Formats: sequence, structure tokens, C-alpha cells
Amino acid sequence: MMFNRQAFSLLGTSLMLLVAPSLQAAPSENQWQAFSTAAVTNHILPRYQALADSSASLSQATQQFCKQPTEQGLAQAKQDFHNTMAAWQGIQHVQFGPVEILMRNFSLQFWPDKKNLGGKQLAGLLNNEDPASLSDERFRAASVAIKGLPAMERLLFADDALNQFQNHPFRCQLTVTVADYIAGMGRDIRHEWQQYADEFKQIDGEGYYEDTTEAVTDLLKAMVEPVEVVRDMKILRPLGKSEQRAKPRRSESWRSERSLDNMIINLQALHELYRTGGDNSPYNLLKLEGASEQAERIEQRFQSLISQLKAVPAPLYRSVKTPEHYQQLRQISVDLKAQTNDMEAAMKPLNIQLGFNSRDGD
Amino acid sequence: MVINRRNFLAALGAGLLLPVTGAAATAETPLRFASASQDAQGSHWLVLFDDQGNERLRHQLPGRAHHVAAHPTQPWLMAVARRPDRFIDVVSLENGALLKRIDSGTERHFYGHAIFSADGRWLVATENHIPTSEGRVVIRDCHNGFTVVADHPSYGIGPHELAWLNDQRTLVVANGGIQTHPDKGREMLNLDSMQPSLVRIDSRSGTLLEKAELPAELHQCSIRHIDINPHDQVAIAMQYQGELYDNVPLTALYQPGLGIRALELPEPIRQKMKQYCGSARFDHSGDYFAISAPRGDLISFWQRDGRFLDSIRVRDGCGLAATDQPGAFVISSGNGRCYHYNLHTRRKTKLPLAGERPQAWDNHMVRVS
Repeated sequence: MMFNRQAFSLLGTSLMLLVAPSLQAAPSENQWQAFSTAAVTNHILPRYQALADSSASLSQATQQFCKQPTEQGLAQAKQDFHNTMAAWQGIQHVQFGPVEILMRNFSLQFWPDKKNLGGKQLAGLLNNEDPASLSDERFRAASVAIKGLPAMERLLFADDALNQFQNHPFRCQLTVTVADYIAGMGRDIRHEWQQYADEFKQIDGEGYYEDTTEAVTDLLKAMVEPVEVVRDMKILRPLGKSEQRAKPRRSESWRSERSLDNMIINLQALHELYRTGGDNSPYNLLKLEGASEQAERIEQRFQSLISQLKAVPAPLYRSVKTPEHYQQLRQISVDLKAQTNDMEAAMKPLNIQLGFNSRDGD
Repeated sequence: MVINRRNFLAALGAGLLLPVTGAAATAETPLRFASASQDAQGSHWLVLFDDQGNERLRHQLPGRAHHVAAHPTQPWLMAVARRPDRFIDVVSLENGALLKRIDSGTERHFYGHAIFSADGRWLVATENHIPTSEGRVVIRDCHNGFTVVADHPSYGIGPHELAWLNDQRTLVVANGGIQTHPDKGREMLNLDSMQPSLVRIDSRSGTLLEKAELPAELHQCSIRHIDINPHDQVAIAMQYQGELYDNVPLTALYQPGLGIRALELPEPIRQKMKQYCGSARFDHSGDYFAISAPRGDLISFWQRDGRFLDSIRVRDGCGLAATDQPGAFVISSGNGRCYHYNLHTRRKTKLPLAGERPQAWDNHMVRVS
């Protein structure tokens, strides 16, 4: 940052006049540094820790279960699946850093699976019953469609899952392999974030980010852009063009009946990030920049979106076929759109450019 | 911690970032560059600036532009509207006056790219004939009020960037393949059936000399941005319209008669490009080229034999221009910055110009000598 200021002071007076007002209006380096540090320390790291912990439990539970497949063991594995998926939904909005490496983001949750690659690949593996296909090397090279949570869900939540596990030991071995792979990703991401977090805690121009603005841009993108993903992928795709043409099986995690829970967790996570950093939270910085009304509107809408989602009866795949709830969901999609618009507009008072060529190129 | 951070950067495939230092490239005569930009208020500009931090000229545009170019013999700069806009502004390099605003006409729009001929006589632009969605390559006479003298087909849909072969007669045109209609904004209407191509056209007769395509399974790789070197090698930057997880080529080389050759690069770096490359430019020597990937904050560097050399991280970096040195490039970014990068020293330097200036540099930049 030293350099920027020096270079800046060398520029002509006219340029100073042109630029100065917007600089004064924007949050300071110190404010952004405080938010950045808080965001990784209080928001991101604990959430990756939760993913590492829950996926480790899931891995243990499947191993335990496969020693002797019982009703109770399956229930435990399912519960651990729920916990792991909940943890992933709570940190899915972060699409930068270690989760980007080695296609981990796709491997953890290959969804939406428009061509049913997961189903086909899984069926192929189960039919062949080839133990060699589960070796570390072979499995690492396997399709991302079968390495993560959707494959796990298919295995654990199949109609006669217990029966199949009892009669097909290979199915159990595959389940253990997938769970182990998920746990490995959870562990590795958390471990690598220990180091990556430093890039956010001390931004001196020598590391990955050139300045606090760059680091904060990544954090704010993670807060703004997922709102549209929830709307487009998780609500509008299953809603389809009309109630008669709703597509229940396009719902995320419909087999485990947690589509609505996933969205609630997504929005709670974004809301938390919006309020992370105390005085230096995006919420508070907006107010300091004179955009109190905007700040409050975004705050209120997060709360209302979460309560609206909680008011829709689970499972989602049934509600999309019910007139009353179809309308509820439509309204939620409208509010999500408004939330996207408001948050994108809020980047201006914060003097943050989420992306120009990267978001609207040609 | 430094060691760990370095290791981590390497793991990210970001390559070794050298510290950013204060001094700009220490050229004695400043190098000048031009680019379109958008300011914090959303206004669009054509800007001429130098690498010492001086703005030389600023012209307000009627909308968002894309490609800019300097006339080879006259002191003119021009900026081309991106789709679906209809203007090309030709501006005096001496005083910034608007010399001519070319309108594509109501049945047409530009695609963001146009080039002058080396002798300065002709201006050639890619256009959409809206009623038929047919790509056109339109030649205008710079000596005669930019009147249209030829209107050739581009032999594809969605023609984008174009370049002259070294014979100065044959045009190479990238047909992106994507159909859009002004009534539907920038929505892509034919992703399932798109057929991108790179064509060679005789500028005088409009005859199709060659149509080069990728294998059928790669038909969603939109061929959009190209540059050419003195050996008639064409560097290609592509944008894939399929899924983010698909493993498809994003960079390629073409040579007349040899077809299109997809280039290989380390998979972690290819993945970082996020299926989207924004600009391709050769260096001063024509021995090296750079391809930007703004969604991945990544600039890749290549040898003209197609070998991948290096990559660096530039946030929202897209615009690329050669300098007067071999192996050296200037890179502009959507957050208003410019960097100098030298492949031989592997040194990345922030230019003083952009600093904290609140303007976003648009996709393309050109050196103005």
C-alpha cells in the first residue's frame, strides 16, 4: 500500500480533485482489513472446521455401519450425511481458495447433474463390483459426479438401502470409499485454509492479494453472487414454467428431503457474513457510508427470506406441486432477485467493483 | 510464513509472483496505450494514456465500446461499440475531437471489433445482419467518409475479432457462432447448435478461402479473439459455453492450411481460466503471445510454437498490448489498473497510471506509437 500512496501523491492536482471525493467516501484500509480478518477468523475457518468434523464423522459412521449393516447404523450414517451436507451448505458460498483446487468444489457436490452422470456412473460401478475400482488411485481418477455428497445421498437414501447394503458388500465398500474421499477433501481444505487465511489477515502487497480491496472483493463476491444461485438453481429450476410443469426432482438433495434446509442454511450463512466484523461489517460500513436505508433493507430482507423459507412445508419436491406453496416459492424468488439487486447496488457506496470484464465481458 | 505462502501460491497454480515495485518500466520515451473504459458513474470513454501515469486524451462514447485501434497513417483513434450497439467513433489523436461517428444502420449492429488496413485506406468491421442473423464483414473507405465499399458474408454467425494475414489482402475472421438478437439483449439463442469457425476470406472478392473448425464435440468453444504474427500464425482465445467442469481447450493456434490446433497447458491452470478467455495478443517480436482469462484473474503466456510458458495473476485482467520490447506486455484490468510484465525477467510491475483511478478498463487495449 505504501507504493500506491506515493504514486498517488505524484499525480497532478487535477487528478487529485477528480479522485479524492470517492476515496474519502469509501471505507478505509483499516476498516476493510478488520472486516477481512473477521471474515476469515469468525466466519470461514469455523465453517470449514465444521465441514472437516462432520465429514470425518460420516466416514467413521459408514465404516462402522459396514462392519455390520444394521438399521441403527444406517440411521447414524444418514444423520452424519445430514450434518455434512449442512456444513457444506454453510460454506458453499466461498468459491475461492483451496476449494477451487483439484475440482474440489465440483467433487464435493456435483449438482445440478443435468445429464444424470452421477446415476449412470454409480450404476456402472455397482454393476461391475470391481474392488480395484475403489483403490485410491482409481477412485481419485474417477468422475467428479461420484466422489461427493450427491453420490453419498443416492447410496444412503435409496428406497431399500438397508437390504441392499446387507446383500451387496460392494455397495458398502463403495459408500465407505466415497465417505472417506469427502472426509479427505474436508480435511485438506481446512488444513490449507490455515495458511490461506494469512492472505486475508495481513495484506501487505507481498502475498496473493495486492491490497485489501482485492481480498475484500473475493469476500463480498461470496456474499452477493450466491443469492442468485439459490434463486436460479434451487428455486426456479424445480418450479419450472408453471405449477403443472414443476420439476420436483430438480430440487437439490430431494432424496434426503433437505432442499429447503439447504437454502435456509445458505441464506443464514450469507446473512452472517453480512454482519461479520462488528463495526466493520458490510452492514455497518454501508451505514457509515451514508447508505443506512440500503443497509437496513438488506438486513430486513435476509431475515424475511429466511422466515419465508421456513414457512414452506418440507419436502420441497411436494410443495412445488401445491398451488399455495408454489406461489410462496415464486414470491421468494422475487425477493431473492430484489436482494441481489440491492446488494449489487450496495457495492457502489462501498467502492467495490465485483468484476467488470469477468462479469460482463464479450 | 513467507515460505508457506509461497508454497501455497505455487499450489494454486498462480506461479511465482514477484513483489510489485514502485518504479514503472524505465523507458525513456513513454509508451502510449489506448483503451475503452467505464467510469464510476457508468459513462463510457475512449482513453489514451502513457506508461508514466499521464492521461493524454479522453473522449466520451455514446455507449460501451470494446476494441480500439489507431490509424496507421493518420492521427486517428477509433473505438468500436460492442454488441448490440451501432457506433464506431473516430477521434483525433491531436485534440480529441470527434471526426466521425459511423452508424451501422438499423438493420445492423457491430460486434465490438474493426481493423484498419496497413495502408490506412480501409476500415473493416464485423457486423450482424439482424433480420437474418448472418455475420457480415463490411469494408469502409477511410478516404471517402467511411462509405461502405464492400459487404461480404462472414460465413458464420456472430463474427467477432478479425485480422489481416501478412499479404494484407486476406482476412481472418473469428465466427464466435453465438446468435443474439437486439430484442433479446445479450441472451444467447443457439447454444445447442452453435458452430464457431475461423475463416479466411479474400477481402477483395469476399470469397471464402478456408473454413477451419474444431472437432464437432467442441462446438460450444466459441472462437472469439485472435491475433496474428509475422509468420501468419493466429493465436486464438476461446470461451466455452458448456459446463464449468468440462475439460475443453480454451487456447489454440491456427495457420493457413494447417487448421486449428488446440494448445495444452497444465490442467490446474486451464481450470483457473473458468472456461473464458478474453483477449489474445502477440508481443512485439511475434515470438510470444499472451491470452487473458479475466474470470480466473489469470494471464497466460505462450511461445509461438504453442508451448505454454507462464501465467500470472491479475485481478479482472483482460486488455493486452505489446510494448516495444520482445517478450513484454502491458495488461489492463477491470479495476482500473495496468501492469507491465516481462517474460524474460518474469517481473510484474504496476504502472503508475491506473493507481486508484475509478475507471474500469474494457476488454481490449492497443499500443499507439
